[in-house]
Amino acid sequence: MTAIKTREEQKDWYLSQFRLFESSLNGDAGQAIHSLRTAAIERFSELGFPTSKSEEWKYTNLASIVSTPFRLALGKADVPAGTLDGIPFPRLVFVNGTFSREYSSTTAGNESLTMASLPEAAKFHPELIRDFLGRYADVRTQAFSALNTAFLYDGAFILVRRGAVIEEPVQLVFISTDREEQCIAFPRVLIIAEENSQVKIVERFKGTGGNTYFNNIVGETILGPNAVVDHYRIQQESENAYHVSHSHVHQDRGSVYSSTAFLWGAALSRHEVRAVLNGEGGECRARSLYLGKNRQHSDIHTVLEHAAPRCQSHQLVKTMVDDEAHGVFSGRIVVHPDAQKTNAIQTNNNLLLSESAAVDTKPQLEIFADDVRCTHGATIGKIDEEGLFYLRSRGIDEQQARNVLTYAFASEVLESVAIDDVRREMDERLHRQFRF
Amino acid sequence: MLEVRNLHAGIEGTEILKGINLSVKAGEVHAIMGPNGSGKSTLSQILAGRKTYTVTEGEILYEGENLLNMSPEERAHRGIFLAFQYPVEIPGVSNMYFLKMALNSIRKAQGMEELDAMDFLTLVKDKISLVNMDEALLRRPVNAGFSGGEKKRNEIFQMAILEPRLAILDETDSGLDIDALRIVAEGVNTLRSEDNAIILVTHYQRLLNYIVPDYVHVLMNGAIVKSGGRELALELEEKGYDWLKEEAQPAPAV
Repeated sequence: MTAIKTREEQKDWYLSQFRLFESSLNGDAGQAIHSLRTAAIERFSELGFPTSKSEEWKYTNLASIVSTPFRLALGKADVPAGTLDGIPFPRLVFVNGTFSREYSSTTAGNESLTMASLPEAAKFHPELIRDFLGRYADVRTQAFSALNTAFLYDGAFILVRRGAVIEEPVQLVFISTDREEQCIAFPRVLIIAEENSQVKIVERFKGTGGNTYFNNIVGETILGPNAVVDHYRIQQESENAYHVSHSHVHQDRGSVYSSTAFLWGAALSRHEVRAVLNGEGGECRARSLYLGKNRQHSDIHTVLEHAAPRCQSHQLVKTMVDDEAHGVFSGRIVVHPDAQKTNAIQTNNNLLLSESAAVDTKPQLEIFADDVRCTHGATIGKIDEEGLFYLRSRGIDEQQARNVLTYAFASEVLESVAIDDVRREMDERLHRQFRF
Repeated sequence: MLEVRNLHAGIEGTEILKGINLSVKAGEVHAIMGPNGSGKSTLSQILAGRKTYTVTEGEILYEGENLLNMSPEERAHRGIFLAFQYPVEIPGVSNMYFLKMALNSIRKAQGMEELDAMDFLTLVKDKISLVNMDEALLRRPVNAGFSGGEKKRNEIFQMAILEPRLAILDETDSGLDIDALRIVAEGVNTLRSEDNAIILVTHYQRLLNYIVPDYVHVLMNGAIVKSGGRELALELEEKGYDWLKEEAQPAPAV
């Protein structure tokens, strides 16, 4: 198949992939998921991929994703040695979208924590799968979520039982190996943290080769009353990869959801967090760090909905772009009429490291309540001349001084990382990047 | 050591320094005094290599070489140190790490072996007592959240570690209480030697009670209008700067 040109071709292509996929399942995976899928492919056919006319995709040109006839990645693939080094248990590992029992540790039916693949979880907790899978992912308006749902089969399932406090971080690893060109995978994550439970989750995306592939990811995270979920994403896709991730979060009263994303890889990536604060006193924190090089494009998009009173949201997005890289941040805060005493803070700092690098930043506040505090601020700047002079006057050469200041800019996101190993790993990654 | 000859410099077309002449020899301490806006900080920053200012005329020789051709780091490698009036905060980078990087950059440039972590720590412990600085500040990010006094002490501490040949202190005394001032002065006096020179840029003469200068220069409206010994500072303390104003008129051509 050559490049996809029209919307009609787009639809036909994914419909053909869908039929191929359905036949590969041999009626497996249950009726409930089947009807979710069928509805989703229909919806995708109607929506098509978003264009830059859509306000939510204004600064991201999806032409390369839209025109490529991506194929489903079927069959087993080998994981290059060393790929999983340093990633501790408990963990669930997926290779090209498919669960790998070999590399994973699962717990099912455990009193406090269940971690399993989605098909496995469907056996132990059919009622939870039925009630929650696909419930908060917005298939109606989000084409990528619809497409992911159309191909929904495998994925990660995390269930933290009422009152349980899970000390060890749960690791989710999505590996994309070097295989045929132009493969597509649809990783899916469902996290349910019941009332008063606590869990830390580290979600990793690792590419091991140089081929073009596309990961279209959907996550759903449901927090019961007073639950605490600390969610990290480390995106280290291959340099020619496309990565579009939609994370749909639903929060009950008093719950605290933190999302911290480190976006290192991919030629084009979209990191989207859509959270609904649906109960009184909830708190949502969303932090991201993006470091773009070469011709990388990264789009960070948040939609935080305050739907109940006395909720807080804090956003910190830091973008550093070098070479001809492009960074986008658009953050929407919606405050519903009855969400009084809302406190929403959004900060976006951008650092331009070269003349050809660019950023677009767009805050969007939609406030329908009157007793709220919403602040947003965006800065776009270059390396501070004053700081540069200070370091150089101490004998540090110009390049290294620039590196130190770039590191310093990024370090604010590191400070909030609550898992020591992750903070150290990201810190080393930054030091390596900036060679000091 | 340092020869400043007829230095004219400014920023965006505005001339700030209007013909400075200054000669500093090894072993000497020079105080440069003057009212706000006289060009004191501009001179300090130009000596350290700040490119914000454009030199339009004149020259600066440092140990016989053209200083204006050197980058800020090269000047540091050759022993020039500026204690900043407003030290810069660098979040995320510990004071210790920063200093080790600075010292080793200088040592490397001077053809000396870089210090390893152990030797560096020994050096740090030795010097930190000199400025009576809390050791906890070593692990904190550079100047981030430091009080004004802590920042100034940190500058003197850096100076003690880097052991410059020519130290320029840009209003290090401003905003310091008397105890901190004494500590800073002790730090400077310890550095004082036959081989080194110090330029103290200050607004008040109080610091000069603790660091006795060999020469005092009064900088007004971009030019040195009067030079003398220590007694000149005392005279300024008593009379202020106004009586020198007539002398600040364009100097007759030499």
